[in-house]
Amino acid sequence: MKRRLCLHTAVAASLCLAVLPATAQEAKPWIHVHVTEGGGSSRNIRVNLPLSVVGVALEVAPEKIVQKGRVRLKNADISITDMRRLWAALRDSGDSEFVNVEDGNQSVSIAREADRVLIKIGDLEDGKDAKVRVEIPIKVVDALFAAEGEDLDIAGALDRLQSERGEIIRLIDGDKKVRIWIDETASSS
Amino acid sequence: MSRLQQALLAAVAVVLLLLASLHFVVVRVHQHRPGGMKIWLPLPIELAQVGLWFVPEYEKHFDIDTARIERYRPLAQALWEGLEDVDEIDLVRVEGGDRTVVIRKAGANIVINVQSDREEVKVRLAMRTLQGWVDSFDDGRFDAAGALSSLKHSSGQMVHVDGQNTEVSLTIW
Repeated sequence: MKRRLCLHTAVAASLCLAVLPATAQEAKPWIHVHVTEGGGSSRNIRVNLPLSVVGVALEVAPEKIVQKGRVRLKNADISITDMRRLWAALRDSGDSEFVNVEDGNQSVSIAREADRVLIKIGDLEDGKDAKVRVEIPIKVVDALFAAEGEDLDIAGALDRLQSERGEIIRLIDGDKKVRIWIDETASSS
Repeated sequence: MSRLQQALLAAVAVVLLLLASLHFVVVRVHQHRPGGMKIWLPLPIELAQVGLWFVPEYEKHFDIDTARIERYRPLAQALWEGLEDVDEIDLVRVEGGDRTVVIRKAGANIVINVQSDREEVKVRLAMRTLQGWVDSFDDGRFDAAGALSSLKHSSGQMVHVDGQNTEVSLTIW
């Protein structure tokens, strides 16, 4: 009787162990967006959604905004085709600064640091930290430029984000802060 | 007890049982001023559904432009699936100025709270009710009976608007 009980317990334990990794794999990615507007308005926006929902939202978005998961940028200072060409030439160059423009009292720097592209915009006079700082994983940039012509492949980038965890974008512009990150927790902290 | 009294008691019991098995939408309106309007109106959902039986089939479905709503059905479906395993979370929270807007999943419900200096709005709907409403828009038509029936999945206070002058609430019993 005792032996049978032990056998049943062992079988149940093995089943639990077999199921556990599967459950871990099924963890759904969540995208979190925090926007803090400082100054007089002091508006805070927090959005926490399953990443799958964002993908579907893109599919059903009006065609004026997104067509087949692709966005066309209009009135941009630099064309997407030129940016794609630049990216193709620079992506494999290792950790380095791709672009450094100093115009008047403003500086713009685009660099690669490990697996991220880092964009910094700051005031030369201030000499302090960058006013605007954007970090984007290289995988996501690759996916964005996978479209052709003047299109950005947003759906492709979202697809890559499914396996990405951690901070995707951190933008600090004076009092304004935008933080977008992905994890597997359905909470806003 | 006479036979008549027994029959009356039985009839009352049947009516009470019938009422207990019904779902009601209770509309309450209360004006915050002396002599202000006070309305308390219970509307049985099942009776409204029965009423719809007598409406001709072609009029039961409203021919409104549902294409736009139907387009977002996959989004609603993805949202239900994505939130299935989550107990409580603020999906959207906007705080600023004198107003706070929160869209929250709380248990099996979606709760929307809008709070400002002037008014407070609370909406609490069962996910199944919302799902039923989305499903009511099908094939270019809106199924009123289906939407009405979906209300039965919700219970308690569904809508509560507390303005400076008037308080309005919809409760499902």
